[in-house]
Amino acid sequence: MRIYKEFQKGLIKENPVFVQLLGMCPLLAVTTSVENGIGMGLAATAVLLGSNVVVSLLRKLIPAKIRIPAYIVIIAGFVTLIDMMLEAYFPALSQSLGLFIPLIVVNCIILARAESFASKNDVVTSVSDALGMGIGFTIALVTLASVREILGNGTFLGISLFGNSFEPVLVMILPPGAFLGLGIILGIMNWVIQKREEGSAS
Amino acid sequence: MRSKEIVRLGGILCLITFTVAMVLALGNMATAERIELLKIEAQNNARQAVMPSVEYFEEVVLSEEDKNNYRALSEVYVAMKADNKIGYTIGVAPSGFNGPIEIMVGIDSQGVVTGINIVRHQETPGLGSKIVQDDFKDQYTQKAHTPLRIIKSGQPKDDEILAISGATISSEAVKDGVNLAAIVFKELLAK
Amino acid sequence: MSELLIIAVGAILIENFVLVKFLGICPFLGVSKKVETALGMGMAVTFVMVIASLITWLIQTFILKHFGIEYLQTIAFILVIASLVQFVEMVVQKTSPTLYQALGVYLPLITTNCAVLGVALLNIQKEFNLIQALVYGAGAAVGFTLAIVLFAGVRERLEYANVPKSLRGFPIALITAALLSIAFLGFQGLTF
Repeated sequence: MRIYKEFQKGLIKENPVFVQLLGMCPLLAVTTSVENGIGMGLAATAVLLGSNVVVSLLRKLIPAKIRIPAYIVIIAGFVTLIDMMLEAYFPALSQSLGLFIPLIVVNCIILARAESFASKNDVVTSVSDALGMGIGFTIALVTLASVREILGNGTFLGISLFGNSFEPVLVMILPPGAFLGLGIILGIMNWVIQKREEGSAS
Repeated sequence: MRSKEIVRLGGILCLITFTVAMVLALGNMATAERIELLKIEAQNNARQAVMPSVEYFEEVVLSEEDKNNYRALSEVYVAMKADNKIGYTIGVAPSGFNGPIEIMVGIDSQGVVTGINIVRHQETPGLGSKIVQDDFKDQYTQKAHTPLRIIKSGQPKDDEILAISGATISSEAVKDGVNLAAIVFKELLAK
Repeated sequence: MSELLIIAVGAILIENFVLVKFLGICPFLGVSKKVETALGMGMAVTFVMVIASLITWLIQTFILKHFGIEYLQTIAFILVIASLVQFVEMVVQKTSPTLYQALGVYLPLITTNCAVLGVALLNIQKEFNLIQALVYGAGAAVGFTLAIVLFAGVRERLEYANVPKSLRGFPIALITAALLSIAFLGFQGLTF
């Protein structure tokens, strides 16, 4: 029961992006297409899973004073491994995510989970926490990427949606579109939450 | 006491780093060869694609001076068929919107472009990334009048290329790469 | 010389790290409520970035490349940056307690500022020599400072604006950033 709870919290209630506002750099940078969003989400989930497991296993062995550098080294190790594997087996994805794969190292979500969860919990709950947070991050990536790809390019996962007469809103696929898209998504989420609160109050 | 503590903490950190480095060395051993092969294969395919009738390639070794004179030039191969030179494939990497665009340009022995291929790029998906589409790339095939120019609309003439709408920088970059290849052909290879 | 100028202008305006490349978004959104703290953050990042460019370039060229262990790049770079940040934190704490208090939690967070690791990795990817790497690092840092200070200026005014309730706080900040980013797109010479 507890395991499911730890998994489920990352999806919506404590979503790393929409609620905790972490991991903004990759979120804004790679969401020009849904495919990239999924790729980045899964790569980050894999790193998160690895680092949570190792940090949890070593939680009694790593002295508190050096825990942050130790976590960073462990995370950097997993990132490099994932980087190598992507390059060897998914070269196209590795190319389109480019610099943002090594930059998973400094994705605050991963360090935050190692520090605030895996270092205090056993391996099994750390795994479910990692999966929940990783999938929550992926959900956020795919949501923003869908908005940007559909509006900015008229496609979803590369499939044309509206035919040739559709004039794409180019700005959505350019850098400003990332800020604008995320701002509007968060605004809508706030609006829904506030409506609900008003509803329950009256 | 304090210095002992520092040594202990430093030791643990070194141990962790060392272990991680060892794991990565193993990971590198397992994947390095495959990554290298993939790269070679991609280059081979790119050369083949812009010079379809080729039988085999021979590398042209570039001098340091050539590399300095043509900064975006990365490689030159001679395309051979039945022991005759039928042309060259010239690899160039001009700067695009988000970094270098690696382009393979095929040029026959008369200086006519036989085709171009985008090997690697980081252009914006759905925008600059359209440089890989055939209707943009095929414009270059059979072009003989260099330097080429980019136009934004209208019917392109012999030395003109129609840009991808909204992606002028990417289009210009590809054109610059092809022009560079043509210059390399004229100055280095045609002699 | 003109080449260095192109690199610098490119890093500051055309490929602005924050608004175009999306590096360093966390401090950009987090420490931009006041111009003063934004400027302090910008200066701290500038210092770390330039020194990090120098050290990581030296490590890459004389250690990683020399021994053929480039695959340890990410790990080596992040360790250098983490130690540097620790050092800067100590210096700021000693010399300017006010600045230290203002920057608060964000100072140690420079370690996880992807702009710093980003600039170190890009220096290598772009095959810069040492001088070019330093110029690029400084340019990127100035670009970061410029973006965060401009943004903080807008946000200070935003405090007095009547923003729809659901957009208050983070959403309106992002929309502001979008407008700023559009302004920076002008430097690309792109046509919409």
